[in-house]
Amino acid sequence: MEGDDYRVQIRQFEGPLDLLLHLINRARISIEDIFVSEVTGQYLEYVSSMGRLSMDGASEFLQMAALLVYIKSRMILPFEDEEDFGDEGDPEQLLIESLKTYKMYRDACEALRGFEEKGSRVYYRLPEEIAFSGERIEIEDVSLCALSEAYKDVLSRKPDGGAERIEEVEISREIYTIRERAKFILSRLSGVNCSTFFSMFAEGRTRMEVAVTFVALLELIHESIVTIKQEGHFGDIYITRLKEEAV
Amino acid sequence: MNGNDLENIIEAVLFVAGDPVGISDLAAALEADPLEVSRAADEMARKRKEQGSGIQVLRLGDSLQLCSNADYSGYIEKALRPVKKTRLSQSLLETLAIVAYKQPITRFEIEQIRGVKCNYSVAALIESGLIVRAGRKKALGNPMLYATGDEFLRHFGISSLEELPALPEIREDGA
Repeated sequence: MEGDDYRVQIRQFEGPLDLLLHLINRARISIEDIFVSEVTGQYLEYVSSMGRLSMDGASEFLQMAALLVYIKSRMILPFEDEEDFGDEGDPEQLLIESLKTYKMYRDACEALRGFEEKGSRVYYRLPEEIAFSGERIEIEDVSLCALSEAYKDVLSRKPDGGAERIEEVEISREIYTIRERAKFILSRLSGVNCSTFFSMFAEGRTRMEVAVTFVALLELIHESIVTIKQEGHFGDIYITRLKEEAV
Repeated sequence: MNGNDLENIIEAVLFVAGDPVGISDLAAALEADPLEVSRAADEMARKRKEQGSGIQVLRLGDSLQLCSNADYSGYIEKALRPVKKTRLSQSLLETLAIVAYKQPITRFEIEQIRGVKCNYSVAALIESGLIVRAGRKKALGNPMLYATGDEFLRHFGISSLEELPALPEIREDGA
């Protein structure tokens, strides 16, 4: 679809300066030569091809287009030599300056990418869960009996004499983890290379087991370790292994 | 307490803490001179690096933290399948680079350089702790200033901003 193409195109550029730098690069010219090159024309062409794109994302591109047209028109029309730009300065020079500044940070980004890669290979542990004791409460000269009496006393103060019980709730341990389920899926794939999601579960499966296994499957897909195929809604999912991984 | 004791104690505290621990906090707890603690930490970091130990000492500004040796990341990933840290998107990285080199800086100033609105990028970077609010600029409207946070050092695996490469010169050829 035509409209979708534009969307993809505009995603590629972080903004008008990014697009201009791209065009300058492609034309193999220096930033200073932008106004004596085809670049401004190419920019306007690109922006007009953005067509029906939502104004929201395109306004900055259009603003730049207007500036370029203005600068170009100044070059064509005979102007007084000493034109007064006020505090702003020559728009042509200003644009060249901002392109250079932007490019400087773009180059810095590339260096940062290298650091980022290095940083991503370092892992940390979570803080140890220690119940650090707060203030100590010293209790002196109290026997166990007295404590027990005090407890009974508190209970008896309740209107129903302490008969009220908090409803018991059983909290079962979560026995399924994504990592363990991912290993399980891979173990089912060892040797066969293709298995189905339904076949992963025995008769007495629990909701949690299915849910965690499904998330683990998504994780494996995300890591490009397996790929899946499904024939229609609610159908079985065919899981195929993509690459060998140590399990 | 000799230097060796100090190193060992710092190591034990850092192990249990997991999170970064401030050198001043360590010094106060150990009743030692912050400078001494700092020196012991550097020595400990140096030894571990030299031995290629699996656990390394990372210095983040004025804090210390234990971390795994980057050289062994492949084994960690195979054995434990940790969630891989995601790379920053281009727009986030551009915004972050500008903050890193021009901090403290207002959002408007960032937008001036990038030529696009940066509301989303700034909010996302704050959310992740890569940048922090650093007071307000004494200018019209008192706009918020932003600076890099500790997480920035961690994300890029550096100990201080001084380790960042110098900003490339503006080259005249524009290539």
